[in-house]
Amino acid sequence: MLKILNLEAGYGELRVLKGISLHVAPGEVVTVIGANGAGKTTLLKTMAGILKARCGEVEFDKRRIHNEPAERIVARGCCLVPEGRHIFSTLTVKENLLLGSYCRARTFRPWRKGPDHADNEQSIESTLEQVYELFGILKERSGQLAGTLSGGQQQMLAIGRALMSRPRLLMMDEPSLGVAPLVVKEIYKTIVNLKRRGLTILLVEQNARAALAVADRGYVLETGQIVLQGTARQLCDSPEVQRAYLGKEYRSIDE
Amino acid sequence: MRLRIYYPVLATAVLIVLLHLALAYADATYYMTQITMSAYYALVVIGLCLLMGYAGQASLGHAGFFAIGGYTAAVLTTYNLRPYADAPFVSLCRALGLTMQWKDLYGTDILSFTPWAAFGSALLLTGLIALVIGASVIRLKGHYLAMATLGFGLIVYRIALGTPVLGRADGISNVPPFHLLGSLQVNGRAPFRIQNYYLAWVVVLIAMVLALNLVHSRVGRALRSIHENEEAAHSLGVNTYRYKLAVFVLSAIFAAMGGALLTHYSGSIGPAEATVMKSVRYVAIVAVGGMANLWGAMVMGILLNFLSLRGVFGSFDDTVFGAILIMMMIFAPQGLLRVPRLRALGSLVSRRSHA
Repeated sequence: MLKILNLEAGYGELRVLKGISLHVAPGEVVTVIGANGAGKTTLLKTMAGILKARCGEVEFDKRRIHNEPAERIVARGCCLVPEGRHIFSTLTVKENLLLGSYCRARTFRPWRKGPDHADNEQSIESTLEQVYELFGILKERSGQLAGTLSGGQQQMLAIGRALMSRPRLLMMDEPSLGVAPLVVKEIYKTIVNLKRRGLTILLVEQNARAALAVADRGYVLETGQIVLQGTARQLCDSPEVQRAYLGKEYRSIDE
Repeated sequence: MRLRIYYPVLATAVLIVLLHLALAYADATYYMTQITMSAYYALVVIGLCLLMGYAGQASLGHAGFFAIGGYTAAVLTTYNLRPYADAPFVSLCRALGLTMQWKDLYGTDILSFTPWAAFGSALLLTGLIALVIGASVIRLKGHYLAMATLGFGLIVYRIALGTPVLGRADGISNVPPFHLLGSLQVNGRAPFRIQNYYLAWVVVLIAMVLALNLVHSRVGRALRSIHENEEAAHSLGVNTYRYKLAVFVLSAIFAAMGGALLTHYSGSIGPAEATVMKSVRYVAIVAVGGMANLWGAMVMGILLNFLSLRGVFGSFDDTVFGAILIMMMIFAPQGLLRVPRLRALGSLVSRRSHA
């Protein structure tokens, strides 16, 4: 479904991604774990079209998307839940969700008729119901300003908002960042739930333990390069991952 | 439910008639002249409110757009084409009915473009300039955008002040009235006072309906999402650049409309309309009106411009608007109506336009 080949990207002089290759098959949950500054967020931003790739390829559904603008990538069914949630706090919960369906609403292009553009308010309404079903709390709070939600609820809103675009691939940037452990559990329950519904998910995390518990496969990113890859099981068992990310095999310094 | 947003328009229409009756009763209909002029200034403010309040993009160059609209209308309706009457382009325009003949104050025969042609050109030209300027500067954020538009405003001012065709420091006077339909005309002379009072209000209310419609649509939601968090809006598939540019051009056209109509109304335009202080004034009014509050912007636009035109602020005119802006930024950066103690009052007077 998603294939990345030798992707390089960065900011100004800074080269953050140094040739990354990975792939995600339909229905899979793939996680990319890594420490601060490894390039996880940069990777997702580049894939979402917010950052321009320097070289390399991003292929989504056999289409090269690395030169496309963000709005086209979203319309193709590849949506990002940004790091730190980025909800619109002065808009209501419902308005936030509706913004997620932005790419689906009919644009006035009478000369370009097609199933893509015939998407009407009814189907947006039904997606809204599905999202409400997934996150009951959002329905209760739909008229409330999003800024008044708790951190965990905001994260759910961010996920729900991304789901409103009816993505086939959902990219999540550290959904466990800054929320209470109990809420992390709940968010991961949702991820498992979404996986069961057949959604393909690319999950970027620092919280390796939580991510590997739900993922099928994983990649380890270090200073802009993939240093390790394998099934979630293999990664969990690998001594490097255990030492660097799972905190096992702790040894004291005088050993 | 959707119609609910237009109720204040009806209420305003009633208030406008009541205001007329009150002025007639008090034998003070001469106030109407300044109200009419303020209404045209309010057009700029409404456009700027869309750009600043909703999309969150500051502009310190809107007096520039106002001046471009006004000067284009003035030049095209006063520049004498008689010496070029046989040039192919001019004869084509004559054949198309885009020109008119009239006598100025001194009895000189003048062949010029009609106000309709001039008005259309003014909007088109301003739109094009805003598109070209906006395409490059709208990517800038915050202070940088404000500085770039400030630079644009200064350039327009200097051009108005230095170009012979634009009358240099004198500006252009002698601008003919704008005949709209039949006897309906934009004309500042006393016999047309009442007619123009209503005409200006109709223009403002149409602008308000357009603007309200815009902010209550998905476009409005997109604009507010850009205001709040551009990157997140982008990642959701909102083409932030295109929306910002579109609203920039739209607000410039609103400003040009105000400029062109006011020029016909007062019969003249001068470089004072293009000064930076005018731009600051518009920004101050949007801020006082409550930033993302179209009704606040419109009411304040008319009220403050009216007071200024009546000379209430005396020679402290610009000082007052500068002070208003500073006060607003310090004490109520979200607008007066968001100050908690005034909020109750605010929700009574004008509900937050998108609530």
